[in-house]
Amino acid sequence: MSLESLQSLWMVVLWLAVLLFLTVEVVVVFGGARDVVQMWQSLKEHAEQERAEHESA
Amino acid sequence: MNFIWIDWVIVVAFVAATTGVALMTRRLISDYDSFLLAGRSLRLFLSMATMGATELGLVTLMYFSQQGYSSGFSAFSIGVISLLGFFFVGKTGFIIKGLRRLQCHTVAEFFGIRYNRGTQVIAAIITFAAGLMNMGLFLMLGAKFLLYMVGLPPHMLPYLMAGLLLLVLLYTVVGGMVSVVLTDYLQFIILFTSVVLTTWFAVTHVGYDTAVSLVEKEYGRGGFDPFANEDLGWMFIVWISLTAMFSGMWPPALSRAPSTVDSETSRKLYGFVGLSFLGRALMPMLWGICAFAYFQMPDAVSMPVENGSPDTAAAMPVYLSQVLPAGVRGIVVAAALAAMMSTFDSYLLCWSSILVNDIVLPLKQEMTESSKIKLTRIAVVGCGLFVLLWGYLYEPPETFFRFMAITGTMYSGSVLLTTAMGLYWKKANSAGTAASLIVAGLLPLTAIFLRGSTLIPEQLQWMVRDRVVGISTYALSLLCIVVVSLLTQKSVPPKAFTYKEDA
Repeated sequence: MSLESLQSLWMVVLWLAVLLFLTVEVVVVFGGARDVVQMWQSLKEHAEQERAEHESA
Repeated sequence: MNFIWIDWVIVVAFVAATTGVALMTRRLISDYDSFLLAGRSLRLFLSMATMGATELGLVTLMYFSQQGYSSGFSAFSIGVISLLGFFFVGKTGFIIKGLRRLQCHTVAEFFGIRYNRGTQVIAAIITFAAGLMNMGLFLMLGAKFLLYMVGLPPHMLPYLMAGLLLLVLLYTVVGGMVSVVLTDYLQFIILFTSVVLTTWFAVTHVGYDTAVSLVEKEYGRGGFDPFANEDLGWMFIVWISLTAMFSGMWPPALSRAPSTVDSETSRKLYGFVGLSFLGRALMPMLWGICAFAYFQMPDAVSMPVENGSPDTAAAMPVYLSQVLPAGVRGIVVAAALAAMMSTFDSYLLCWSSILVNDIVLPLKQEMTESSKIKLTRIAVVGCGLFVLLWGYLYEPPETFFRFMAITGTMYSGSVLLTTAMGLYWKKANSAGTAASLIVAGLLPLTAIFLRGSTLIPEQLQWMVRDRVVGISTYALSLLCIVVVSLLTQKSVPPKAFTYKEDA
C-alpha cells in the first residue's frame, strides 16, 4: 500500500471514529436519562422494603 | 497560571455537583447488592454510560496521546484492533455471557465454582497485583495532566495526587456503585462532549495537513504503517490482537456485566459501547500527533523535560493549555476530572470487591451485610493509599500504553484465558488452571522489572521485551492448561457446573 493510500485510509478511519463516537453519545445521553429515573425508583422501593422488613423483625 | 476565573467556576461547580449526587445516593444503600452492583438494576443505556465513562479515563487520554506523539498515525491501528475486539465480544458474548448466567460478582468467583478455592485465591491475587500496578499510574498521570493544564508549578504534583485521591475516596466510600453509576452518567456527558470539542481545537490550531506532513518528515513510512514503525512492528500488533479478544474484560469494566438486568443486556452493552472505542483511542492519539506537530514549530513554547529527556506524556496537556480558549479549558479540565474519577472510583470498588468476595469471604463465610460494606469501604481506602505510594515510587520504563498493555496481559493471559477455558472446554481442571495462572501471572513481571536490569545480559535483553513476553505469556498459558489438564484428568477430575437462571 502506498504512503498516500495509508494517509487517506487513516483520515477515513478518523472520520468514522468521530461519527461513531458522537452517535453513541447522543443515544446514551437520551436513553440514559430515562434509565436513571427507573433505577432511582427501583432502588428507593428496595430500600423502603428492606427498612420495613427490618422494622417488623 | 493558565486558568482564569471562569475556568475555576466551571471546575468547582462540576466537583460540587458530582459530590452532591454521591451524598444523595447514600440513603439508597440498603444491602451489599445495592452497594456493589446497584441492585442489579442497570438498564442498557445507563450501563453504556457508566461503561463508556469508566473506560475513557484521564489515564486513557494520556497514554493514547503519548502513543500518538511517539508513533504518529500508526498508533491508530491500536484503536482499530480494539474496535474489532469489542465487536467480537459483543457478537459472541465471549466469557461475559457465561459469567452473567452463573451470577458471578467477579471473575475470581468463577474459579471457586468451576475449579477450587486454591485457584480462586491465586486468580484473585493475580488480579489484585496486575490491577493495582496498572492503577498505580492513574494518579500520577492524572495529576500531571491537571498540573500542566492549569499551569501549576511542578513541585505541586504530589499534593495534587493526594488531593485527587481524597476526592475520589469521598464519594466511592460513601455511595458505592449507585453513586458511581449516577456520577458516571454526568461524567459521560461532559467527558464525551469535551473529547470532541478538544479534538476540534487541537486539529484546527496546527492544521491536519501540517500534522500529516510533519509526521511523514520525522517518522517516514513508519508514521503511517504500524508494521514499519520502530515502536510498534508486527509482534506488537499480534500481541495487541491477542489482548483484544478480551476487550472490555478488565475487572472494573467486567463488573458492569453482573450489574445489568439480564445477560442479553450485558451482551448488547459490549456491542454498542464498542462503537465508541475507535474514537476513544483515535481522538486522544490525534491530540498527541498535533502536540508533536506543534513542538516542531518555531513559535512553540518549550517542551517539558523530565530527568533530562523530553516528557512526551506532558506534551499533550502543555499543547492544549496553549490552544484552548478560556472557558473551554475549564470544561476540559472538569471533563478530565470526570474521566479520572469515573475510572478511579470503579477500579477502587472493583479491587475491593475482589478482596471481600474472593479472599476474605471464602475464609470467613459468616459475615453480615453491614460488615461486608464496612470491609469493602476499608479496602477502598487501603487500595487508594497503595496507589498513591506506587505512583510516587515506580517509574515505568517505556510509554505508558505499553506498561498498561503488559499489566493487562498479566491478567488476561492468566485469569481470563483460564476462565475462557473453564467455560468452553470441559476437560479444563484445577491442576491445569493453577499451572497456567502461575506461569502467566509471573512471566509479565520480567518485562516490568527486569528490562534494562543488569541481571539480564545485554544479548538476552530481547527476551524481556514487552511484545516477546506478551505473546509468550498467552502461548505458554494455553499450553500449560491444555497439557497439565490432559495429564491429570484421572487424579484431578474436572468439576462440572450448571448455569443458574438469569436474575
